[in-house]
Amino acid sequence: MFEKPSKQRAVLLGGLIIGAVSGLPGLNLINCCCCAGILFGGAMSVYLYRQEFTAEMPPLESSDALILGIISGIIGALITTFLSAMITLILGPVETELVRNFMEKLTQKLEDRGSVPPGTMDNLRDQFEKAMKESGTIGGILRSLVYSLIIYPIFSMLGGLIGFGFFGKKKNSPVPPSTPL
Amino acid sequence: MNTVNRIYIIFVFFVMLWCGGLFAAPLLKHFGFTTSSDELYSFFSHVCHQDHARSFHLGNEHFAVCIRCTAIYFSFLAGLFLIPLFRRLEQVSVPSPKLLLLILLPMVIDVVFHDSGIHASTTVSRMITGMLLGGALPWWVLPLSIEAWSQLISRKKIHSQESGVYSYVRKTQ
Repeated sequence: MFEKPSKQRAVLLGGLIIGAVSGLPGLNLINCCCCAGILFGGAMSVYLYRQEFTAEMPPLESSDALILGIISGIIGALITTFLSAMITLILGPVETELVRNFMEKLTQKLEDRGSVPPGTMDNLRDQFEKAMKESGTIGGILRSLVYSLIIYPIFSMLGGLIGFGFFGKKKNSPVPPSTPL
Repeated sequence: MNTVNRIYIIFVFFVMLWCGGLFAAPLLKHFGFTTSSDELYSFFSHVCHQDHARSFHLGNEHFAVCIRCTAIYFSFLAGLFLIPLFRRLEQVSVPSPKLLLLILLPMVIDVVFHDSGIHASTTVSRMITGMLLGGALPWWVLPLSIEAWSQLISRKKIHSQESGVYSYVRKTQ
């Protein structure tokens, strides 16, 4: 009897996608839009897992998508925290200055166009300074890890389920018999 | 109470808890519980830019997330309440994924046009596009969540004597 493929590769790659999108400065702004990067990582882990199925194997189930999403989210949270801490430790002031310059230019541009109300820059600067101050401390890193370990698996699980809705069943796979709930 | 109803209630409870957090952050700050309020703001900063100018306010304090996110989360919660009125919770079929992309499109257009300076998004446009997505998402997420958790609950671990491998099979009622 054929068994389902191992989830190891799919969750690692899904976690890596989440970690890369959420941990790299600039790219992590994607998560400002309802954790789009995390949702994407969860959905990608389901997509990658589905690729490993053959026609003889039992079909992919929504419970697989759920597990893939949750584990990818946990791995993603760990990678993100590690990556953010490393970037802060290694690049510290350089990164801070780079991101600050980038943000100031972007917001100035948006203010000039009238896309954001005047004063937004000051607000963003305050938030940024506060975040940078916290991110360098052990307490800040641990707190960020705890929050990430709550948020990332939730959103990654949702991403996995949405991904299952998108790429769920392979066209050549047999329809599973309905099971009593 | 059967498994499906239990899963539904737990799911709704967690979404209510999440939405409550959005209210609680400004409310706690208003009443002087700044440490708890700051923790909540810090928690939600992982999911939103929290721009004051683009957020609803309770008194002088802004919500823990922006208008668009608030609209998404609260209409998601409303969608969860509405679903049982239109379909049985045991029904696992979901609408076409293309429909979800179509619903997502107005929000993408609103964001892209705003950031490229073609049109300025307003509170109303942010709310409408957010509500569209948030209201639609439960129709995909809830049936699949119920199915997935039901599958996980109804399976049991078995040990193969030949291969020594543990695997899971579905319990039969």
